[in-house]
Amino acid sequence: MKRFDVIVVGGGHAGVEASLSCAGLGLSTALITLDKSAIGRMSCNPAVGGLAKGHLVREIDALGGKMGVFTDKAGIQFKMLNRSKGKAVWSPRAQVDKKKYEKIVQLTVNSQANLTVIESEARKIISLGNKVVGIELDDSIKINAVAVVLTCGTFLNGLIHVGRRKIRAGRMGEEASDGITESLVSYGFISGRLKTGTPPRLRSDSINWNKVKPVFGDEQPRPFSFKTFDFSPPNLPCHFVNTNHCTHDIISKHLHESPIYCDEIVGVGPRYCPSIEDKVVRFSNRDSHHLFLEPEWSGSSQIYTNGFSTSLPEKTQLKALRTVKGLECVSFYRPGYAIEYDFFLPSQLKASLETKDLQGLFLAGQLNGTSGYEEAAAQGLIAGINAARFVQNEPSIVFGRNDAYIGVLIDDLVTKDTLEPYRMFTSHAEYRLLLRHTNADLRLFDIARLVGLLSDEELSLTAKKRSFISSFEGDFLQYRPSLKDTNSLLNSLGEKEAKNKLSVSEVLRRPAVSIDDVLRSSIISPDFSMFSKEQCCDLFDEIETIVKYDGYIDRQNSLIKKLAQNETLVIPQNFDYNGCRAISLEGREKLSLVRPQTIGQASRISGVSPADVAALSVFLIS
Amino acid sequence: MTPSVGLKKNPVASFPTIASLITSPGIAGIAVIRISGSLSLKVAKKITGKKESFIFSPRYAIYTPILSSENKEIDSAIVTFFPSPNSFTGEDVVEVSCHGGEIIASQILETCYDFGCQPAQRGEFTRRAFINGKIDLCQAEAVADVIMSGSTMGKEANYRILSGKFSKLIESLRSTLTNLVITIEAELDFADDEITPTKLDQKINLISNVLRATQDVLATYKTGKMLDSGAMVILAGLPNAGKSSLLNAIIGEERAIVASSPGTTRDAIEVPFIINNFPIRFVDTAGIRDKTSSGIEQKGIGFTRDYLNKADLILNIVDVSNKSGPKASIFNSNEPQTTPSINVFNKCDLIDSPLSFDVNNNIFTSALSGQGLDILLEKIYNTLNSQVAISSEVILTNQRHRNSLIKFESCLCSLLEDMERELPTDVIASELRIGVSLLDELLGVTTADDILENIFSNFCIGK
Repeated sequence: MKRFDVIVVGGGHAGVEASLSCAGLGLSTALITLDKSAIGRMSCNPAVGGLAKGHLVREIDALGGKMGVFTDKAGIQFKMLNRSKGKAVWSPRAQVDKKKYEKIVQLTVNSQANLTVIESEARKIISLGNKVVGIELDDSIKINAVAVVLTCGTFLNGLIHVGRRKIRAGRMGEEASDGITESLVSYGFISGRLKTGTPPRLRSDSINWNKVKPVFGDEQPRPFSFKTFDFSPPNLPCHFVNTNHCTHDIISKHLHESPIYCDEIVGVGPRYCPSIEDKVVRFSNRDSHHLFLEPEWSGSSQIYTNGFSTSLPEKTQLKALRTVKGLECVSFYRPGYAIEYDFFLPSQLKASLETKDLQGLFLAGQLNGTSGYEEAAAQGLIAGINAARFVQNEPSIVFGRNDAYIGVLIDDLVTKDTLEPYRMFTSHAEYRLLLRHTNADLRLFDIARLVGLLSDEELSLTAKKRSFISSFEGDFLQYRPSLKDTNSLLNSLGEKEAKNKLSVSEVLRRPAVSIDDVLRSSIISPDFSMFSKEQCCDLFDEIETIVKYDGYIDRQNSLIKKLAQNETLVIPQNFDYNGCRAISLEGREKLSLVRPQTIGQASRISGVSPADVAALSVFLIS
Repeated sequence: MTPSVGLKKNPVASFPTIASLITSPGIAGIAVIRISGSLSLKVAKKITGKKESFIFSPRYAIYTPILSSENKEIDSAIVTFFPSPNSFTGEDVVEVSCHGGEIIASQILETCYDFGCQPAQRGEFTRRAFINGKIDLCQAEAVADVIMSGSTMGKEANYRILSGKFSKLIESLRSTLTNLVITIEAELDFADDEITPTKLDQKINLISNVLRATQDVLATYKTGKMLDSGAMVILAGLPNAGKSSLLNAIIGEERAIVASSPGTTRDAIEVPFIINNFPIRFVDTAGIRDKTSSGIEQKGIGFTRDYLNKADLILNIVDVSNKSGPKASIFNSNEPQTTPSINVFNKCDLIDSPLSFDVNNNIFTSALSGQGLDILLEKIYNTLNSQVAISSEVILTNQRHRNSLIKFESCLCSLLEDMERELPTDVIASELRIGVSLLDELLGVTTADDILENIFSNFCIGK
């Protein structure tokens, strides 16, 4: 019988990060996948990052995960989103060449030491007592491991809907996976059903490109990875078109053909990614919606119709799309479809992503009810790291909500049962001003060092950045240039003149003054030569934010301090909530179900009131 | 499910038994001692000299002698047993109604301590009631406020809070704010091509409205305070105008020391009083004169100035018999007078002919004969009553509510400032959330995780 330290089931974005991190930490790792050639596949949109998701990718990178590196190599258009809304919510996004992406991933996986790829289907989880010991494969072969990471995505009992037609599959054209759900259920885990969808893929030569408007990326693209230098990716355009009332009429008329509207789908779909049917029904007052035509790879003949996710029959999809200017003669490679799949209620997990009831079993990705490559990759990385630490008998790594978006993501998952696929939003993060994409490496430095996936050289990049910023704060920002120099800068930007000498930091705090303005004027001339152009962009943004957001950042920090005690107050795992009559009945039910690990977690469970939390704390302390 | 280590399944058993006086100390007909905890029944048997086998019927009052730990009879009292969980605290409770006065009660308490009870901390009975699920936090707060209300009108104001009018108002402010949070969060979470940002003016307008409403509520605190703890009515005037005599005459009791020499009253004396259900605190103050040789009197005058600043109504007492003509010189003519005042011409028994003052705004009294006192009281009542915003929907009485609202007000002010400076949306959003959380704190509710929920129903977003 084969033995590994860790088995990772699934080769999607979660599985890739999980297996690369375990193997990277020196553990013998097996990656079980149904299809070797599908490892790292981008099954939906040809893009990585976006609002809040971009933050996740930067954090993954700061911890030694790979998604950022892959994207920098495979990207064909890079754009910083939310530029008009404050630097804490700026977020990078890239259009990606899907083919190239999956090729790079597979190259990396195949050349990774300690990692064995097994092409087979996992059918059963094997355990001894309350401890996982291995996996049984399709052909009844058993492999042993100390820890198992499940990342089965949408493949568990996957059911595809195109109109009234139903196909059992994991993704279009790929087999679904059976057995694991039943196996988990037999251990007492509770599963649910979710739905997601994908839009049709159009033939490039059937689109009238003269009638659609191009959209390019940033002229000065910025990479995802803190380790990417000399960045000069392509800048290929996407195009956008608009639906019109004819499109909407057709969809309305054919609603009865959509499985969602005749109750054939039981899974709940994501509201933030509504199907075109949903948009037409729920926002009937709007007479037009944007659709983006995104190339699936460089020079792609296949075009992704962003904004037109649907489960209508193929004929109807085509009829509706052909009312759109530029798409009059459009034809498909493949229609849009909806897919239903099993997921497991993530409140059954600890914040390390290990299951509460079966030791050594970790769950990550869409299986936990999330959506998106980035959310999956983030969980995969953390599950992988903690599985490795489990094998090595090290305490698991848990992120606070103030440490990282990853912390927010996992905390939300384990304390709140998701009713729809969970997507990362900046509004989930209450300490948003602290969690900037430009300081992901700085704020995760200590954890990254503890994890051990980054080389000393890579860590020293961050250390250098950190000490530069602190000396910049103590030195250049305190410097008081002559009143004449200051006022000539202020004047040129339309700011009111200063009466007395100001420090550089006071100058920079003026709304119209940016760090670029300060550096361009010669009031200070720091030496940035030890940093690359990519690092400088991050550095400038960081310094400007630290100065301009000063008081606001302090306020969030003091709030964190105030609540810190809650995070360290541990609740015994077998605590009897029913014996605590001061807690409301609903609170007791929710607490018994979720079994939070700390008072902090307890306070974030919906249905648990502050009075309940107060009673619980009083009870635990007394 | 097995109970965890260190925590017994029955929470009632985990606290020591406590005993304390639950009526206010001092001279009274009876005093009540409450004993709460697992030992209470045992202690009850000990202090009543009953055998171990004696059965106290639940909620049945028995008349029995009370014995000290040396078996000496201290008092005869009514003893009632309330078994858990049907008691105030949810624990076993014994209540002893003994004769009043401080000596008997403290002797009985000492005996209880001898038998293993501990003195209760401040508010500990209520705390246990809360821990054992007998009352919730808000109830505890509201109950305390109603008990502490000094008058029926104060009770009325607190009842308005209890009945939820206050909460409703705060909730409406909260919902306005939450809607704005939703709008702004949607702008942060979705790209510009997916939703159209709301104009800054509109946002500023919304916040200004909430600020105004908040300031309106805050303005009722004066009324609330007046109704809750009594309106402060200051008796002020030159030394020896007869302020103390007048106060004694009003309350019908010798509370203030009177003497014919000016400057007798040095400390301010506070006396609670009720006119037509309106709670009042009369304050007798040291007379104000510029030249005094006594340092102590000087200090007393300083106190008077402080009181004048806090007053809801000032009675300007003037000695009408003063040979050099009645003077009303307590007010510093340089400062604008904002506190309402009534001129009271006292000692009118000492003059023969009526004076040529406008009777409408002035009251003539005699502390000695009682003349004019009824008219004075009616005038005081009318003046105060016309000031209170009793008609407004919500009256702020609770100090905590006020503090929260003041914090909220300053949060809104800095928010408006930030918006006018056009600070970035992420900063505005975080300030706004602090505002909402202040109201949540005030209402004692969880910040509902419903922001995204609302985004989805209000905006068409998503790819």
